[in-house]
Amino acid sequence: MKQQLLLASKHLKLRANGITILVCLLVNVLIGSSLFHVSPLASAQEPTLISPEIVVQAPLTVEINALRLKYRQELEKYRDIDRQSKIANEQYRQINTLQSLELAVTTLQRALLSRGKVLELYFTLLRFEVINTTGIEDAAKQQLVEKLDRAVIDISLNQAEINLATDRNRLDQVVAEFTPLGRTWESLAYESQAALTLGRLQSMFDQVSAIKNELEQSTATEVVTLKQGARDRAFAETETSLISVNTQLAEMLVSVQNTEQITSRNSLTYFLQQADRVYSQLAQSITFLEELTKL
Amino acid sequence: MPIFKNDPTTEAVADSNQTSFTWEEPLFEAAPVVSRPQVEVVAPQPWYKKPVIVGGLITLVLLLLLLLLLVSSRRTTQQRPANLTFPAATIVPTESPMQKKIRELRSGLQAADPSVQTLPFPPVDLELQLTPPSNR
Repeated sequence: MKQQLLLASKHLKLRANGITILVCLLVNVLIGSSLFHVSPLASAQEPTLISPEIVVQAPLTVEINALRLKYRQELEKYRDIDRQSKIANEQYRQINTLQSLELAVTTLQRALLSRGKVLELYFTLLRFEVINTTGIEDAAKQQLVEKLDRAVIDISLNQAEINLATDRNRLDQVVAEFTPLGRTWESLAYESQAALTLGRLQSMFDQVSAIKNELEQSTATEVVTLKQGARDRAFAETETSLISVNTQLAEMLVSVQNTEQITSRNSLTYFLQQADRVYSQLAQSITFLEELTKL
Repeated sequence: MPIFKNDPTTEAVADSNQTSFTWEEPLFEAAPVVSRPQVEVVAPQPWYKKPVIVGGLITLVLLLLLLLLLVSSRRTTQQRPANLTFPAATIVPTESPMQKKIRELRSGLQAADPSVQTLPFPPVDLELQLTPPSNR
């Protein structure tokens, strides 16, 4: 009896200790989470290093952001429908029944419509981006915008035809009509991307040149100091760097204006490599300007 | 009456139970002592020696501390916007307008990085069509 009582009391102590440990652990977890938890309010109001005046919104930024969101949503929908269409098509190819044909035609029609919607949104988005980019020459911009408008109209017409196609033969005909148009649109997309890249770099080059001139004018009025020689040499070096950038930009402009040159993914990749060199040189020029302000 | 004077059985005749003998009776045996289990008188423990109560009290105190911490952290986050001053505003006076322009130029250049293509051609199947059934 005594042993039983001793055992019982030991068991009770162990249980109490277990409960205490569990409670302590729980409290530790709670305290830990409360100490290291950053409330959304606090994180949202954390001061950022980017000052508000740097973020200057371009005119069509709101529209572009809304379109971009819609484009992503439509692309997601297309992926899903395209997968369904491919499965139905494969089933029809394998079993060749009327039911499978019906399913394949229906899903193909849906996939074609969804693809059209994605392309329509994509070219509208490109159109807005081209309009919004300041570094593209007005004439070239106008020409490109017209091409993009034409593409959007063609896609809409193709969509209407897909909607009207009720049987398999008509759908085949619409698909056949689309194939050459699709390649043209792909080329147009590469051309637009090249123009956008060039425009952005050209815009940056103009700004760098303007600041360099401003800096040169402001230092010209200053009293001649001992550092004048070093400053002159730094300006000459910056000037050489900017002349080189300008030459490369002119070469790139020729590539963009010659629509035969950028029609494929490979040609765009080559163009982007060229643009990357210009970008690096522009970054170097900005570093030179920073150093010049300290002289 | 006993038949024999010294016969030990003479008295047992009068006894109604004649199946046992008197000498078989446990006359001199002591009665068995049944030892009672000794129940320990456990003295009531004071409350501070009971782990459940102590644990409960510690938990209560910790929970109160937690509550205080939460309340104080909320107060500080609510007070922060009022005292908020952008560090950029404190840095800006040290740089000249030209340096500021160059800094903005550098951040603008990042948006013109050609290696970041924001609008690649959508990954759509341009040759989507109904494949004819395989010839079997």
